[in-house]
Amino acid sequence: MSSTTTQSGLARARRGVAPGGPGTVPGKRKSKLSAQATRTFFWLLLPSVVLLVLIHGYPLIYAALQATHDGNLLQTGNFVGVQNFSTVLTSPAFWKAAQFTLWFTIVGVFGSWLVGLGLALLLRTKIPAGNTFKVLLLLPWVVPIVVSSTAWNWLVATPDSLIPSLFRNLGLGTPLFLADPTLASVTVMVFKVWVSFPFMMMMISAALASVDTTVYEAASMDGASRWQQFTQITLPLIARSTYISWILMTIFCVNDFPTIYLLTGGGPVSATTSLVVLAYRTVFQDFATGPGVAIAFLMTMTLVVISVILYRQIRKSSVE
Amino acid sequence: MNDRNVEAMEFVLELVSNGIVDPAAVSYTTDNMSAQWKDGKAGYGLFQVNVPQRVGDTSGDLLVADPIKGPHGDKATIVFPNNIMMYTNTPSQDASEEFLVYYLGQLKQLWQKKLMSALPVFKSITEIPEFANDPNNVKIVKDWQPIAKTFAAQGSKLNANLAALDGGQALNQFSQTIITGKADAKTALQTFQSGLESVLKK
Repeated sequence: MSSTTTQSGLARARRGVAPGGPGTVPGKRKSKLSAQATRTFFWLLLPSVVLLVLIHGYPLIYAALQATHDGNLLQTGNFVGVQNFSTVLTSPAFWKAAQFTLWFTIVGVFGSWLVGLGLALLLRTKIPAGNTFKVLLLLPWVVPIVVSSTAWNWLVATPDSLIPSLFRNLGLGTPLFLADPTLASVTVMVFKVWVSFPFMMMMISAALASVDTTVYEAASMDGASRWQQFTQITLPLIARSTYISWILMTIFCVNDFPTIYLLTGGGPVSATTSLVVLAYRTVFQDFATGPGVAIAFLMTMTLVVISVILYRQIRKSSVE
Repeated sequence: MNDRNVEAMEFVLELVSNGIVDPAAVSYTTDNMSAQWKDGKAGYGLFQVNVPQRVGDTSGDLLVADPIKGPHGDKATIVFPNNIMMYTNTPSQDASEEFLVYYLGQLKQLWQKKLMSALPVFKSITEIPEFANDPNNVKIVKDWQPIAKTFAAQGSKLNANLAALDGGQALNQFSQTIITGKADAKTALQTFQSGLESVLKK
């Protein structure tokens, strides 16, 4: 079978279209709400909207107030306009933290997605004690981060901890996993992947469960290889869940404070200081609320932009 | 920054470069440090008064050393006092003062019942058997306490930014830079000074 035939067969399989043709596509129904129904919906929604505005609006306005003042934890201080933002944006510490946050997020999102995807596909096959493995694999996500970070600390913190000892016995030297700036960054990212992959695994498992197996049968009959089935059926069909999980994990990674702070405290020498850790330190260690909240604002804006871009991808994948 | 600061930090950097300072120490938590003491990995260190209590049984192997003398013959160490603050906006100033007097009068019991391992403020507490029977405690009071200074020792007036100075990012960054040996003494101290000055300007 030629590759063109295989491609068209795969495309048909994805769309659930038989070789005979697409059949009758039901026309889209346009629903029009009457003016009265709109009013009813408005009044029903109003209490929730008011509640949301109160819950999110007050802290947001108060944060905006702090970001434009030179106060501290006790006093609001004087109005300084956008000076805190310019201070933050011209600070090398901010850009160093932004760079680390970027890498931490990229590795956290795609690392956990790859591991989660691999395990979700593995668990989809018939393996002995599959359900037990599923529960065990969820543990990194379920265990409180304080406990898991302490466990990781015991494993890697000192030259005599288990993992450095293992490296030493293998003749690979004594790596300082939390004391060397580069290794500490890598360790924190690996820790994040370890903590997050169960979430990705669950999301992908749920998406895979909804894929009709007959699609694969149709693709096989058209001569598609396993790899072609994976890249051209599995991935497109779970794209929606994938984008949602990427959005969520991006938000989790950018806002992640405990994973980093409990393992390295942002060190050594700020090597693992992310933006959220920098914001915390600026507010609660330097007591400079203005610049600290300005950092948080910049993070929020960036997250909104990323979320909008990924959300558009979701809509695009839904249309396709 | 002065010449003595540079000299002191050059000494620490020399210890770092010679591998005398544990290179992993920069990331240690208090528990990690306690583990190093317990496992006999630490030979000499500046740690809290309550090391034996934190570490557990060391069979008398853990001793308070003599203060080390600098090249100019001076000795010093750092102390962190825990202040008891009484606020002026208390509902009853008299009642607060009365409670404070009572509280200070009862403090001795904390050491008698071995509930407190910090250094006592009252001389009378240093003389109770539960405290004085420990030779390490006696040495701390006799040899270390007289040379102990706070972070604010050089200051001449109160500064509301002290918490930001002694617990802020500048000090953290400075100590980690020195322990990792990532900068020479002058550069590290200059960065530290700039960091402290920016806090003081606020």
